[in-house]
Amino acid sequence: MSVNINLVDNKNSEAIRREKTKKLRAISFSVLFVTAFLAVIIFAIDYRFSASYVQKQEAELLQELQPFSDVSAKLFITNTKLSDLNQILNKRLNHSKKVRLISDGARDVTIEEFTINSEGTQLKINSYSLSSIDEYLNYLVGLVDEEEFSGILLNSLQSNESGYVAELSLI
Amino acid sequence: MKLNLSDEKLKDSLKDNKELLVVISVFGASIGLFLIFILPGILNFPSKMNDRNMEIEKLNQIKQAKSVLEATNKNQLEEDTDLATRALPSDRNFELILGAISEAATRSNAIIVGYKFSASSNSVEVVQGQFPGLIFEIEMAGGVDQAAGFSDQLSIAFPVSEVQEITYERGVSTVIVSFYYKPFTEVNAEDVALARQRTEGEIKALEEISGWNRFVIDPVIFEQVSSESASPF
Repeated sequence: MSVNINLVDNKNSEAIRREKTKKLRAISFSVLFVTAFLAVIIFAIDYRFSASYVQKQEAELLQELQPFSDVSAKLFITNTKLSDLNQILNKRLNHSKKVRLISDGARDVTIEEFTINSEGTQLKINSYSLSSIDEYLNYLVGLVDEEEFSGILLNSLQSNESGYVAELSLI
Repeated sequence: MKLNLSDEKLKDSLKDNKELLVVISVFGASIGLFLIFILPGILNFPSKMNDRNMEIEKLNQIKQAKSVLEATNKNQLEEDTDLATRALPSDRNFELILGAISEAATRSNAIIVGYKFSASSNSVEVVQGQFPGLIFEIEMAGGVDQAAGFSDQLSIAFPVSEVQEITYERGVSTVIVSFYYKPFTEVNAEDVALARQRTEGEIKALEEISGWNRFVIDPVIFEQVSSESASPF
């Protein structure tokens, strides 16, 4: 077989092929190196920034805190109690102020019966003078205007041998 | 078409393409490495970062707990614990309750006619939020002013109480009051990390109870009071 009739020189073709293969080999090893390097980097990042790494630090720190366990328990209990107390103190009813307000105006009337609770205030007053009852009612209406109470209701007004008796509700 | 390759030809072919096979193997190894190590690492990164951030939060809490614990004055803490426990006992402390009633009566000049509480488990306990309490009904001679004065004094006495109702009829005022308590919260060894700075509300509560009337419980007074009252103790 004659080689002279080939349009491409076989020697050149072989050299080009080798050159290409060499290039491909270099590229493939570079890619492998880069991939391996990336894998190592990702492994390192994964370890360094993993939750378990932080957990290890937590465990070490908790170990350091062991001598404080008594103080910590006491602090936790005290803070919890104070937090509970804060809730109670913020929510607890204060009837005394309202009782005093109602009582302070009752100079010429007698409070016969009185109830104050979370639902409101009921009172029964007595006086020989209707004008004293009127004055006291105006005083209570004033308290409503001052927004100490949200409303007042005169349930009944009767007269008997002991004078005038009025039953009131304050909300 | 049937391909008939003899061993000899195959060997020749492999020999000729040896370099190419190496290249293909190396690319394969790269792809393998990428699929096994890099891709899962990248895909799991967000969830791992989430886990890590949570752990970092815990770590910071522990660090904060450490600094709080190191700065804690043990004697002051003892005092605060004592105050908080007196203000909100962990169980039904009748001794403290009777002491508070007696102290409030003394300070407000109220004359206690009698007091009682129901022994029935259904009616004895009230709840404000999640706090159980004991309801006492205290009768005293005098008008509503007397009852208001007594309530004021009771509100600054240990343990913490809340006046539910004040009634007055025929010269006798009745104050219905609930005394709160709350069982201890269990603390585990790992809860050492729960130490924290007090909140504003907690500081405010401590300041308030620090100003409450302190009293010494005198057993003789209780014997006298309980013999005069309708109390079951």
